[in-house]
Amino acid sequence: MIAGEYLTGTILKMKVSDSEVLKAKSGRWVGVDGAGYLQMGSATSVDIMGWVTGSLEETSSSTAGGTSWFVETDFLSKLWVMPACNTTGVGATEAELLAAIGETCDITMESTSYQYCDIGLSDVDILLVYGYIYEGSAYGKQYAIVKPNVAKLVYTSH
Amino acid sequence: MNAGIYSTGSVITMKCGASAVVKGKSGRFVQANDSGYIAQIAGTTLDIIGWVVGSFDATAASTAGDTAWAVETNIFGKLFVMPACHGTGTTATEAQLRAAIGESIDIILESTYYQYATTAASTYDIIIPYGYIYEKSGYGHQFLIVKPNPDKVAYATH
Repeated sequence: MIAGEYLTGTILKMKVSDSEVLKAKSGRWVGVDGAGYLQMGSATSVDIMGWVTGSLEETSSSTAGGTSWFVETDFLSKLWVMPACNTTGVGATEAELLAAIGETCDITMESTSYQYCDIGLSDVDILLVYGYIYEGSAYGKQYAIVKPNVAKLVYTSH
Repeated sequence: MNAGIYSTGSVITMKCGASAVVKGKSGRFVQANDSGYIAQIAGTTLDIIGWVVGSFDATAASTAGDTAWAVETNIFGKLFVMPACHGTGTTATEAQLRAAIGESIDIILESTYYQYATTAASTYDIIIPYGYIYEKSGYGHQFLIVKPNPDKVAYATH
């Protein structure tokens, strides 16, 4: 094959690192590990490569590369819905969500495997908030409509 | 709701700040204020989050949040046409428009509310021209085709 010969579109099937946990009711931001396998984004991730498509819940194979997921790589042009909180385990009020629009905040991992947009954290500032969905005051009933903050994306040199 | 299922696309309805103004023959870039409501940008604004969709002239209600506009958030993936000048009240020549292509320049506000791309200023460098429309000589008859400069946008932390 001649690399560069053709355009593949924006969704790419990518091999996953070992034992990665993907949840439906979660953000689905992914990066890659040093070996080139997908791994779920974490609270400190700044090398976001895309968003796993669909609503699949799955734990990848215990062998790296044994599982593949489809990844939307055109992640800067679209808005994404993910659960929101105001610091770990605390629901965000509607006023707090509104005030977060246009500002940056962090991803936090809730119950280990769930990516939340944490409007109470502003250390990494990898998310930019554009809107919200407020279904109620209980924890887990708020969602943020976000994009990665283009000013904070950083990729490791090879 | 099952967050993670979907992307919302790139256009989102956002509530406006009190008495926010958008003009038809103007750039339509917006920011979000501290309360999360959108407002027209000024020449010094670095936190551009979108472009108001449409060509309508409007002034938002005097109560923040009572008016909402559709905002295109894919500001780095699309080109936007806005009026151009060569400094306040000064017509840009075709040569000046052409010379600005590929370089970064500023936005200024003309007559308070009209966002113009100015080929005469390069202090904030918030937009990059990709092309131009030169209808004829005379102020207000030149346009630049631009995108925000991803190296210059910066957002407040929450």
